[in-house]
Amino acid sequence: MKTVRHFAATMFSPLRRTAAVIAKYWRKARKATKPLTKHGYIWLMTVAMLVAAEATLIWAPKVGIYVNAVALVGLTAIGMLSEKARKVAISMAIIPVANMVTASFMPHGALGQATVLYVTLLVLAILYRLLFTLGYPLDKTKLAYKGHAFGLPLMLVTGQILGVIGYGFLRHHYPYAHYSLPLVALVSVIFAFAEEILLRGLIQQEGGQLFHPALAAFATTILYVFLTIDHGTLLALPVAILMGAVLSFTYYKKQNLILTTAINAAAKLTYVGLVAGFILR
Amino acid sequence: MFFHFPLHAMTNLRQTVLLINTVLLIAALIVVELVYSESEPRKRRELRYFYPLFLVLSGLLVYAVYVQRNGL
Repeated sequence: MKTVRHFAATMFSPLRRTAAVIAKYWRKARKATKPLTKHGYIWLMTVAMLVAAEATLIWAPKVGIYVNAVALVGLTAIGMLSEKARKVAISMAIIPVANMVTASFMPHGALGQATVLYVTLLVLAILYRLLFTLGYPLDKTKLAYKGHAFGLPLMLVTGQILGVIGYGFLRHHYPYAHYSLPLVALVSVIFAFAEEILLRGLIQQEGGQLFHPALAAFATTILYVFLTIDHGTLLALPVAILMGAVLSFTYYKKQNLILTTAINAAAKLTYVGLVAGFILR
Repeated sequence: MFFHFPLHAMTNLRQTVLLINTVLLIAALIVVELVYSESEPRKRRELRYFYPLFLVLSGLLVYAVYVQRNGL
């Protein structure tokens, strides 16, 4: 009997040791990833609602307007019920509201629609950014000026590279071909500012207070992709993913809206300029 | 490269959106009345975060009335 026990112990001890090592590493991995999944259910709910609204608006607009309204109700409900998720949920609710405003006015032409959409986003984003950051200490918003002498030119070059890549993919899908170039150039800068103040300055910043900052950056990348893609071409997808990832990563690292706006505006202006120079001439 | 608004000028769809907006505004006001009307002042201060959204929805209601009056 003793021999059998001894044999079993020698047989299973390496297995037990291996299981103990695996359990130790599992506990370590869980501990390391715990901050990343903090409030993950709120992240999942808010992002999923907006993604569902945007995706159905693209592929089935008549259903999409109802899903958009449901997303607005859901985000407002989260904002009312959960104190910690209030700012993030309300920041995200700006997107369905802007969709409703644009669908209500329904202006003719791509630039008219984009202008109504962007102006609504910009006005609400500025209002909420002011409302939310009234009580913040200055270092939370980090609109620091030092380091811009090196940072800004680098961001402008990054933006130009993104613009060239965008031109490579979307040169035959330019939406504002029937409008004057200076007008499009001017609104491109305003559009870039509106995108940045909403996605980075509001959603990513407020998201970074609630979730892990990397998770907030991932959320804004997803939102950027779904707001930008066009059912007319799949070529918009890689450009949107690349631009969204670069902009979110820059804000994740620097928390500076001036730098991300510089990238975004430079990319848009480069794209518009290249299309005007080579395709529309 | 730019945000893309997927809907095109469709009068039927605009009427539906304006109707949904009116329903949402009324529902939101009912919820606010039920949740906040008898709550303590500290909790009632949370409502300020919803004012801009209500303002936009109210503006759309005014626009819906204008559209109906002028048969647009």
